[in-house]
Amino acid sequence: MIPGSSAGPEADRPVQAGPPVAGRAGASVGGRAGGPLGGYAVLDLGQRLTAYGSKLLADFGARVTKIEPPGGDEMRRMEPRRGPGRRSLAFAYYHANKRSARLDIGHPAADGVLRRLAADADVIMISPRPGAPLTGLNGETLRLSWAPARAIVLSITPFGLTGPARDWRMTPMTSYAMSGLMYRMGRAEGPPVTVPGQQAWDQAGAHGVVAALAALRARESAGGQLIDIAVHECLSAQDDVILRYSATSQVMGRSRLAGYPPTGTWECRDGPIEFQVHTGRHWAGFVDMLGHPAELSDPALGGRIARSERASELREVIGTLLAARSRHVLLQRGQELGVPCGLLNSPAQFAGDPQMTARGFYVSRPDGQLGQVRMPAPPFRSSPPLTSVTRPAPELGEHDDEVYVAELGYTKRDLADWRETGLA
Amino acid sequence: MPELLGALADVRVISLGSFVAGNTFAMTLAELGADVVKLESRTRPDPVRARFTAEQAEVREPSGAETTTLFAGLSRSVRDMSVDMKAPGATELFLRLAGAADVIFENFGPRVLGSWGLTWERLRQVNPRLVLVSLSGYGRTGPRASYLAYGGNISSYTGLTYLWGESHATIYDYVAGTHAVVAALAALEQRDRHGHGTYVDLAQVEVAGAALAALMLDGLNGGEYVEPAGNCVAGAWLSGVFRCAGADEWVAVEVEDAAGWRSLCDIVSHSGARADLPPDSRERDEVKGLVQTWASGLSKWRVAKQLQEYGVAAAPVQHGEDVWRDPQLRSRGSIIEVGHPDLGRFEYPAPVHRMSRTPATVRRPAPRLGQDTRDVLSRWLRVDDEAVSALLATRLVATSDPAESP
Repeated sequence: MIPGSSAGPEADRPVQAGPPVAGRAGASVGGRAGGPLGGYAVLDLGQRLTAYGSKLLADFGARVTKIEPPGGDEMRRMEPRRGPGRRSLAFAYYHANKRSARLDIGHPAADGVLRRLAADADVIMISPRPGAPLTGLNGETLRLSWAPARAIVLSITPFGLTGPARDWRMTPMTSYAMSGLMYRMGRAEGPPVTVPGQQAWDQAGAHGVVAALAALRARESAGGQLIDIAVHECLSAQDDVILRYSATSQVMGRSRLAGYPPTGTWECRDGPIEFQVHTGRHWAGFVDMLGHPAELSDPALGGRIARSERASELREVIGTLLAARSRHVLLQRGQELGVPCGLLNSPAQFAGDPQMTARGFYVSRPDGQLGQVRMPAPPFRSSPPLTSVTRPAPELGEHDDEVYVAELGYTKRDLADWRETGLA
Repeated sequence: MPELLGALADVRVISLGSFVAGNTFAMTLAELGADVVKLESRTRPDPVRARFTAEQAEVREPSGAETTTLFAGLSRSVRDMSVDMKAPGATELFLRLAGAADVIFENFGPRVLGSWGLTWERLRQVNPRLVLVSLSGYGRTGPRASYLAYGGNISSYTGLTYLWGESHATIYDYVAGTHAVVAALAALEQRDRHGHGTYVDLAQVEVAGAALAALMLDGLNGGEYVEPAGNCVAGAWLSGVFRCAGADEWVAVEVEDAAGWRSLCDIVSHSGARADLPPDSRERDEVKGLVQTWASGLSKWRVAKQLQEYGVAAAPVQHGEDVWRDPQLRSRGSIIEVGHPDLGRFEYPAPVHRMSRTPATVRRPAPRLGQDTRDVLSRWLRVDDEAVSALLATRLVATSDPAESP
């Protein structure tokens, strides 16, 4: 089953694409040749749920056209906002490298426009949700009437396109609650605590990109297909939530396990440090780092199971030993001795850490409204480079003329009509 | 029906990856159809094969190698080859494997690959089309490049522990493993187009930095860096986790807009709402108190369902058993039973990449250490049986069969 075989019968698959390279070249009109995905065309009809996935595709060089509702994407209203135009910093970050064209994708008349928009799209990203219908999507067959057969349709939603909860309204926090992961975070006596920010949703975006890139590789033999990514499945697959219950019938709560010290976080005199001491070698290095204190001389403590059985005693002993030391000195010495340890930073300390500065992780990018916006670079350092930044996040409808008039052959008059009927 | 070939059926991967991130990388590609071979040595097998606490049962493969349900859940569909990388001839054997591979992944400490003579320069000499993904805590350059790190260290270094109140051991392992797959697939596209391989220096702190981006932008642009906020979501009209009937039962609620605010105020009979402006903190606290009183007599399911009927985002805080019973996951077949020769049958989360024509599927249970050594030597390198036996005798390679590899 290794190389070169094709996947199943071809007869029922209307493969309209030529060989992959020719197909890409054909799709590259108006796009950029650079980057691993240069020449691929991506149509993003989603909002917050597809933003990270289409950002990754855009950073890899795909020509991403973001279709926005006439009133603008919800992320344009996300705080913090800056400048006279109340520019959302999150919008500037997530939507750099993309184009913006307006269309009400729930409007009955949108079907024909979508069909023309999608005609040369390699990937069509959708995120249908209650109250924001997507014209042409059949909820039973999951077919998208206007999508060409060779397109990869990538849906990213909280629960997927099927199932009893598919119409539930969700946010990153409620997704995290549902996944089984939140229940284990926080103090035992208090409420479970959510992971902060948008990251619970962005993980699904990264999974969507994995599936879309795999589907593009298989397109010559498999044709286009529908990918149905559910945030709930991406999150609940982590941390052994399902397997552990299946294997042990035990529910993992917020009561912290005893663990095996010194693995965990500790206060030093100049701030907190974290140790991850798992192997015998880690432990030997840890004891060496502290100058072989008598309290830690028992050779049995080299095993993590032995340390878990004596966790409370060790916690006190080690806590006292560490409280008087400097975390920076411990960090340097510990790392020299092969002990996994690191600083516990505030966000500001993280952003200013010499490592992040040396690698140039935070970069200033041009922005049409604010001049410059400081943001993380794509997290893929490589030789040769895989990512590039070419244009700032667009103004709402900035590419209406480019997309509808220059590329699809509509007239300015058509666009004016659309504005009157609310289509755009 | 014939077994569905996955989307990546023409991709060969060598994984030197271990722990959650390395196994997530390998399993994701394997379930998408790639031929992923995990290289392990008998003297230093993947640490997730070993149990972490005394409560866990000890399970051994026939060879004596340890295995765990954690490993079984992280390494499904992957094949396994046992090589002693410190034995004479190991570097040459590895270079031959590299010549037959599309992608190599490693997440060793900074000096390990080099100590075997396996630098990127050497690898690309034998295979100019190779993609090498090197995943490390802090990246392979910069003042902290040599640092050892586990998931918890990444959570703490990047500010997540500070914001969340406790260190999380694995969150960025999963995120990093997935991003490593993204990088590998993008690099394969680049190779197919331009003919050359790519070296990817993937840093967990940068992947985490991307995950945390939305929280950092204010501070990065002259504003305030975000502070711990518990369950208060920035920008929400109201958010929180409320206690429901039962022991340790909770519901999470987030009101995103004016319509949701009006609905919530209706449900808890709060009359004074100025419907078109977000509440001030006094009013928000007042409504939160009313929500808590209302929810405390009801099940978390009932509260979530009622709020959903009114268009308010809400969900029960599910624990492991709830997730295992979850009707949404069950209706989509998102929980599947997989057998394992040494551990027995358990239920696992199904692969999340649901693709209508080339779905990700479980190809086989997690491997025994060295179970595919013979097959990889034969199929990838065309080494005949006699030569395999000679390699086994030198102990450069081993199989999972104790009679063959004592």
